[in-house]
Amino acid sequence: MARLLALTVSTGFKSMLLTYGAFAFIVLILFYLLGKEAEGGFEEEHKLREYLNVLKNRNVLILSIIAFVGVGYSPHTLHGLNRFLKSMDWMWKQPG
Amino acid sequence: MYILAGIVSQVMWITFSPILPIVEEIYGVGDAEVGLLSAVFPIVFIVLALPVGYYVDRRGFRRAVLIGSAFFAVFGLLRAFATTFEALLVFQTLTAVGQPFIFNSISKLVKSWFPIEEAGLATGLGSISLFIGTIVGPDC
Repeated sequence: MARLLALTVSTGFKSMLLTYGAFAFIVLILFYLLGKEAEGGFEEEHKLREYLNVLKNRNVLILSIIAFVGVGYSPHTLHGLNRFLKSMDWMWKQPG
Repeated sequence: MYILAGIVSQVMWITFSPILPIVEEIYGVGDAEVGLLSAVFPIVFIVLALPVGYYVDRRGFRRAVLIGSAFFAVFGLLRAFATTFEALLVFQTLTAVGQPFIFNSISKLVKSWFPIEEAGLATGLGSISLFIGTIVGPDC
């Protein structure tokens, strides 16, 4: 974390993002050149109907709803906790 | 190669987490807005997990990982040129589209390349990239 801060501070925010973008480009090119599909490993045919049946599955629907609620609820809770701690004049930045 | 793609995925996700106060200062936004930069990854993943899983089944893991890596490369780079917070959020959201292509490919990779008795080991190797990326992201 300290190093990322150092990278951001020393080279600038934009340079840090460019560095990460360049890294992603290198990986993309390497995977394009070296990544292979196994011989005979890709012969399956799946029908759209099977996929739609998965979406209709009750457990999948319940899990999706829980996940959506969880994703929305977590930042809201953390944001509220953050404001509460700030109001108590507690240190809100991660130490170290 | 797959591990590298997984590392990039995590690095893209965690980019802003350690520097939230700096991002707030640069774009003049609050805690809630800047938190969205990290929250879009799980949101996009939930929305796209099933359709992308279907795509991976039909098209194979190589094409899926290439598509995911392309999203990381193109939109990850465009984040550097975002002049407004809204543009940065859009690019971050489009970067997040790559994540389900990478993660949903692991089972296909394991099934295609490894015998069934090594499936656990192969899955473990693929999963390592998630944690390496989380460590490397803030530390590189």
